[in-house]
Amino acid sequence: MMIEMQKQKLHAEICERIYQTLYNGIRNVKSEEPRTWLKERGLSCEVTGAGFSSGQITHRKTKEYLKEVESVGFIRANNIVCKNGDTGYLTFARFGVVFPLRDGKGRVVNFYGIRFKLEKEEHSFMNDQGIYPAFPHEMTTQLFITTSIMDAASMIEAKVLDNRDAVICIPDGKILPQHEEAIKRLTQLNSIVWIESPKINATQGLQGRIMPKGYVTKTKKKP
Amino acid sequence: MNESINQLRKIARNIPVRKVTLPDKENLNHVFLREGSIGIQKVLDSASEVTEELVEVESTPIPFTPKEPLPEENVVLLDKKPEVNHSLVEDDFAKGERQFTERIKKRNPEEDEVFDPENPKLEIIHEHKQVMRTPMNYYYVLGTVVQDMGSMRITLMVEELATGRRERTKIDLYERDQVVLYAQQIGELFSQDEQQIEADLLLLTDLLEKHREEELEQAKASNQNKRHQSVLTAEKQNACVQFLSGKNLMKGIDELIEQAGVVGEESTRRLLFVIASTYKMNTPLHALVQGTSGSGKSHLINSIGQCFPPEDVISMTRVTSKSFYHYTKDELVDKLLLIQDYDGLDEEAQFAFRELQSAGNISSSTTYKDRYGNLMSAVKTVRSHFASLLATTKAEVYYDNMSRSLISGVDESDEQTRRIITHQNKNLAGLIDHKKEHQAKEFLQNCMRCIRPYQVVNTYADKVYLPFEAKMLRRLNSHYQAFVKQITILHQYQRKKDDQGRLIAEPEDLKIACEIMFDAIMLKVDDLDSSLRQFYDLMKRHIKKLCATAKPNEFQFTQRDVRLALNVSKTQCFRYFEELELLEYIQRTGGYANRGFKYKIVFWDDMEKIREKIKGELNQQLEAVVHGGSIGMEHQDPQLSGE
Repeated sequence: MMIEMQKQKLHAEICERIYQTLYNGIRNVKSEEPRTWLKERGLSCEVTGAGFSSGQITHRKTKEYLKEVESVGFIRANNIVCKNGDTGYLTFARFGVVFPLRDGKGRVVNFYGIRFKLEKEEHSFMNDQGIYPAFPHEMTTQLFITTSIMDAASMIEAKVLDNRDAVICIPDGKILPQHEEAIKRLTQLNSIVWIESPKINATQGLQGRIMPKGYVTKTKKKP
Repeated sequence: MNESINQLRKIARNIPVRKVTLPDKENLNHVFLREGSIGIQKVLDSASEVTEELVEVESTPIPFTPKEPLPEENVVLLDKKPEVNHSLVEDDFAKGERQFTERIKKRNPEEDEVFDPENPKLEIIHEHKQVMRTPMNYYYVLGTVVQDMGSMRITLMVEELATGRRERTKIDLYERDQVVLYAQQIGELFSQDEQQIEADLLLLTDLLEKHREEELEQAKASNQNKRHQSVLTAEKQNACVQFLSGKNLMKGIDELIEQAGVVGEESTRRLLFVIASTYKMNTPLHALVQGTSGSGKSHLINSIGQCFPPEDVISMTRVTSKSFYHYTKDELVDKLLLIQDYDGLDEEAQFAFRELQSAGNISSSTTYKDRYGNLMSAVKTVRSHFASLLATTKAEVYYDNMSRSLISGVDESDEQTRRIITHQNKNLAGLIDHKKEHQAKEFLQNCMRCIRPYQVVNTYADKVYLPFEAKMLRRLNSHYQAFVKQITILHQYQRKKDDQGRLIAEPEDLKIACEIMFDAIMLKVDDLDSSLRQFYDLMKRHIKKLCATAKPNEFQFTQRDVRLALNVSKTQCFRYFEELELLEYIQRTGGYANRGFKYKIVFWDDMEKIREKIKGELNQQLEAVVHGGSIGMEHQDPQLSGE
């Protein structure tokens, strides 16, 4: 049991660190595209907490760090070898906007990525933990439940929530243990609004390499 | 999805669950982008209660097999049942929409009118509040927009429609950076598209600019065309000319004035009318009406004023000390001025007024700042050419003022009081036809519009001399001559013209002038002013009655005797006595301060006699004029004739 908890803590710590990188990343000068993408949808990273996974998280990092990140499932080693001879990595939601999912203690434990540069937007979760945007406060009286992350983000952005209102996202309406736990915590709850939108069928885990449009892979043979 | 909801209901016991289903291929983000927060609020409002256990209905429509004939309503109801779930989505939306519009209406019940969200326009709520409505926000502009074309500083209030939240700020819409920054701020606060808000603000700028220019144009137009000449129809003009060329014109005018609502005061009203009618002639005259307070001076003046074209009449109740200097150059030209309370004017204003009356213009040298901030001096001149009717309560007006105007008193007798009371009562009883009153006024106005200024030749001017007893004879004489001229001008449709187009006065004019002006002349002759003269005459009559047996010269009386008999207030009576004592008409003979003094009359002047004498003399002169002869000046001079 203790080991399990420690494991969780470690997982959350690493995710938190990754999220910090991603969150800083979207505000970088070079991250013009994800910012415009968000703006086109009327969202802002400050309110929704969106980050940007540029695929460069492995760049110039220590092996220990990469190991940690890999243990969480954010990157996966590839058989492609880089210029400098290092191993290449596949990154979760490469060149995509990333939303953090949090656990009951408010720690980031999971990510939801939207790769917008592909021909068809690819939605995926890193794992099956956490709730977007967070576990609702215990004193919440009215709970809005959306079935997609973008809906939840739009609701936050629209500022339609009153005091003691909260929104959570139950992806595609599949109630998972963490959702059950979150709702059970709410003692003051007196109303639930279920907002249903079309299913998205997001995948889970790090997918294979799908390159963005017009991206040409440059592989180098081993010297 | 219904399974999930059922599961949810199990988790959260006894908590009502409402549900919204968005239409196909639509998510909240699309709604948000299209309609903003309002859209999302609409969707949330359209959520409907899920009460029963949800069963998938779509796939299993209930087959309807009637076993027995049902009432019609039921059939319809049952028939429709399977469709309910199909149309759920649309119904929810419609409901949400309705609730939303109701909410908006509740907030702004008075703003029911439909507005076109595509073309917002500036609506003016009142002078200091304008609004531009867009589908998302209302933009209010509070206060007035600065008239300086170089800036557009306004107080802006943005109201978000969905929440009713209001943001206020002062902003210069011509400052591009400021506008962009503000649009960003508002966008963040209301979570709306900042570019849209910026576009709205730019539109608002355009609209305000247009509005401001329109206002300026209007102001310009109203400034330029201040003096408008009303044009008479040929019909009306003919009627007026016919009236003006009729016999007994002065009598006709007098009747019309009476119809217009002036009761009694026969001689005064004619005098005032003629004086007022000089306003656009060569020599305008001025009248000063004296009377105690509440005797109807202002009423008289106003009634006469209403008989003149309203575009030419300026009525002033109060004049500040320097305001005469700041009229535009020709604002006081060809005008009739009514001042209801001449004592109310302070020294400086009276001085300016006197100058306007006699000099025809006043100029003041003042400093002003030019546009570079340098102090410059300039002389500002106001031209004047007007007739005036003034009312005052003060018995002794400043001597300078008196000389410039003809002085006339208000009839303060009991008869007049009775006449006024009858008129008032008739008015209240609804016996007076106000339409007729109005018609009379309008007819007189039209007549005045028909009268044109002419030069007048008075060949008899040297044949008539005013009594030498009168004070300030120089001015009075010129007043009299001007008055004769005016009478001729009023008769302009009956008089002959010479080769130069000048009107020729006839002896009749002199006679009429003398008749009308006689009271005014007498007031100038008299030592006492109008109201004091009336009081003194009454007092003498009363004393004579009291001392039927004794000698009137030695009869002593107190103030109380007179006060009670003549029904005068204590203060008024005291004042009259004081003045009479000063002028040595009465003398204090005994008594004590605490028990009242006794008085006797020492000077039994006989104004009636003097009146008759002067009248006789004037008539004699006039008769001579009519018959072609003349009585020279030397016959009139009391010093020469040894009287």
